[in-house]
Amino acid sequence: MRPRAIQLLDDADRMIASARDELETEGAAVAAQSASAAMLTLAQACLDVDGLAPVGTHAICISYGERFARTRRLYSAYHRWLLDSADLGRAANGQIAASIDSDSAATAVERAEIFRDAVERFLDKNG
Amino acid sequence: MSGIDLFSDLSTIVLVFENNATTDLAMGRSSVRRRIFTILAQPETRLHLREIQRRAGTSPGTASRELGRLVAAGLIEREAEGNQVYFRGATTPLAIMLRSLLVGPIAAQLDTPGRVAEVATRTSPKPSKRNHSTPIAPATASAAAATAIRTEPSPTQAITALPDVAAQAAARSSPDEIGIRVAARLGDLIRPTYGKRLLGIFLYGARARGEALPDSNVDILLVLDHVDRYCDELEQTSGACADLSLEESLVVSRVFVSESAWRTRSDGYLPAIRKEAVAI
Repeated sequence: MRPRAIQLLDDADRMIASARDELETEGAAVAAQSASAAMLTLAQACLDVDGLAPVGTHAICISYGERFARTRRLYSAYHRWLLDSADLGRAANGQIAASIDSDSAATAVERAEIFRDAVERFLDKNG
Repeated sequence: MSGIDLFSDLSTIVLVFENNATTDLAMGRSSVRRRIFTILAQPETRLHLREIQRRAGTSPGTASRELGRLVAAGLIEREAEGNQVYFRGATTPLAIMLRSLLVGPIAAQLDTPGRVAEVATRTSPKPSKRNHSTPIAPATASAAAATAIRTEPSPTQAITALPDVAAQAAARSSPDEIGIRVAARLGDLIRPTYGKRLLGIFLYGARARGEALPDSNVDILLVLDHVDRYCDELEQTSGACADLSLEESLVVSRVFVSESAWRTRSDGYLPAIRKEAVAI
């Protein structure tokens, strides 16, 4: 596994752990934003295998879609989850009057955990 | 039509034509027709059949048939130039009013500030307590008619009624065609799932303002009757959104708000979104 991918995986682990805590302590919106950040970080770890280091939500989502969803290198649902979590994180920042419920935040955290395990397996094989 | 209160008479016109072929043509059941109507919404836009077909994402036969219906309804004008035939949006009062319902502010469809001020004055709604409410832009033709019958101004019409804001709207760039097309396609894909729960689809952000960069998101706001579990709404639209993102190599970003939030909330970005939003 490449050093940068290891670092990104560690970062994602911390974000997911933080999101878990935040579900109890800080509320759904904060936890949803942490889960969203974790998903993006995991997508960056995948892209690192191809030597890509896109920055920003848009670039990461597009590159991940092209490299991993279109080619089916990883289960296509992960691409949907990545886009969903990006939108959830955006809605959770409180600027668009969308109210985030705790179920939705908990779902986002669970998905980040599942994606994290899939990415680790992928990196073990390909990194 | 000049010299009469255009907006007040909109409800009458819709009532008169409610079951008429003209209204059906204009506001009706065909999403391709609405896309073509939207593509030709700007006064300077003049296109030939193949370009319209390409932008609407449909077949030449369908584009030709729908254009014929729009021309017959007086909503699109046909111009022959040598061997080439061009189409442009008609400038009849009915066409302008329907564009304001289906596409966006009346001001954006007019070519001079003078005409903007003239129409803004003519379209000023009569004082009413209800004028301050925020109606939902219709997601369906019948909803469009129902909204018009209630005689409430749409947010964009309310903006146009103020002369200084009308001038701003006129100066604003046209909404991005990619954004409108992608938002319309998302609408087509999710309407069967949502049915009557889907009350409005709006393009907002850089693509609505005509300020998009090549990699700008397509920001879409969906107004639903209610939003309980946000993740359920994301899940319902997830496949369509991901497919469109891959097809277009763009991020199609959605946000869901409840009807009550859309009507009443004045915090965060919602007031700004209401001003710039383009109803799909």
